Parts: sequence; C-alpha cells; structure tokens
Amino acid sequence: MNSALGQHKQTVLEVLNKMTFACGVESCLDDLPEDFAPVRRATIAFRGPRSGKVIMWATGEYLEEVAETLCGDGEAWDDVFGEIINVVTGRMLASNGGEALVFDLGTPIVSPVSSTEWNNTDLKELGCEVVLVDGEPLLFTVQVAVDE
Amino acid sequence: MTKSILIIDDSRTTRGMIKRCLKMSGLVFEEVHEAENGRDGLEQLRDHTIDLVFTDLNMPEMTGFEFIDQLASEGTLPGMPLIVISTEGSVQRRQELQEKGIRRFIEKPFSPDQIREAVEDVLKGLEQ
Repeated sequence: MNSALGQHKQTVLEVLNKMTFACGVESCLDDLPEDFAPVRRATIAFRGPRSGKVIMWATGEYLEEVAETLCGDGEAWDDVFGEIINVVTGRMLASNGGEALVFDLGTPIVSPVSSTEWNNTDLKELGCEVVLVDGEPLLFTVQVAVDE
Repeated sequence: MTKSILIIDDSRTTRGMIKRCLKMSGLVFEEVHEAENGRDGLEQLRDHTIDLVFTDLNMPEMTGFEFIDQLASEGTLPGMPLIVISTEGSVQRRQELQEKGIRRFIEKPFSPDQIREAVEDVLKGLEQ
C-alpha cells in the first residue's frame, strides 16, 4: 500500500533545499519529459511503528551536479544519492509520524537503472511522485507494508 | 582554536558537508581526521590527539551508540567534546543521548550556523 504521497513532497523539497542548496519545486508524472531516463535508483528500508521502504530515481545530470556541490567530486553519485535518501526518509518519517516515534533506517542501496528495467517500471502503479530540483526531475515513492 | 577534529560518518558526503560547514563558519582546524564507523573512530582516537568529535549514529560495523558506550566504558566520555549528527531525531533517541551525557545533537539536514553554534557550545562547556 502506498502512503498518501502528496504530503511528502514538501518535506522532500525542504530537505533538498537545505542539504544541497538547491531550488526545488513540485511537479507531476504528466510533466516528465518523454525521454526521461534515470541512471540510479536508491532504496532504503525503515522499521518501526510502520515499516516499508522509500525508493528514489535520479538522472545523471542531477547526480553529477549535486555530487559536485556536496563532495567536490561530480562522480560520487552513489554516496551522495545514498545520503540524500537517508536524510529525506528520516525527515519524512519524523514529519509524518511525529518525533515521538522511533524508526530504524536500513542502509541505503544505490544501483544503476537499465533501460529495460526503466521501460518496465510502472510509475503510476508504484505511486511515484515528482519534484524538480534545479530543473532536473527527481522521482520518489513511499511504500508502507500492507499489514501496518 | 581547536587543532584537531575527528568526523565519524559512513557517508563521505556528510563528512564533506561537515568540513564545508566548518570552513563556511570560519572554524579552522589544523588536522581533520575521518572515520567510516565507530570502530575506525576509536582507532583514530587512539592514534591521534583529537580535540573535537562529530559522530553519526546509524553506521555499519559499530554504530554511534556503540562508539559512545565504548568511550563510556573506557572512562573517556565525560571529557570528550562530542557532537552527534544524525537523521534519527526522535525524542527517545535524544533522551538516550542525554542520559549518556551527550551535550549536543544536530539533526540532518544541517546548516553551517547549526554546526558553528554546536562547536562553540561544546568547546565553551569544556572551558567552564
């Protein structure tokens, strides 16, 4: 079951703006360019009063820019993306559940996205949401376990 | 000014962000040591004279909590200028840290001002 994602967009944007000094705005799947092709997927699991996972997708253009900003190394995509999803998820859970709740976050997993995999990904089925960060789309979805 | 700092975080990104925030705040250190987990951090503490420590909580091999507990068991925690930086900002986690004697906690994402205030606060506490 996907959680109500709209409320998370603002949290994602706040984190990215503060963490990466970026300018982000809300967007939607219908506004994605037809040739949009992410190169990395980041996943992080969370356990606590609710359990599930957060998944994000990003383009090489976005990751190169943010890696250069944060690390001074435009090729440090995986470390940067892993830390972004770690911080975003931490803030999402705190914003959504309140700071009285304790969640345990797993280790972020960042992996390449093949064109075959991407073509077979149903963004609407996954309940993906979109934000534009410095003009580059960043996709995410929050999946909460059904029995939670 | 403090001469030597140790930054413990499994994310190279966060270690870089802390260093940049320190620089933006005008806080200059002669030596900056880095560790990827609590175990590496303990080794760095044994190998170098460290004046200020930043540590994450959620790390592989040895967490920040385990690192702090190890310092406590060795009796070195009370005099250790230590700042915790983590995504885990729940009230319970903060209480656990306070009970262990941790003076400062910064939640990610953080700003240069938050880093500067925490450093000044921790170092001022040592002088008192």
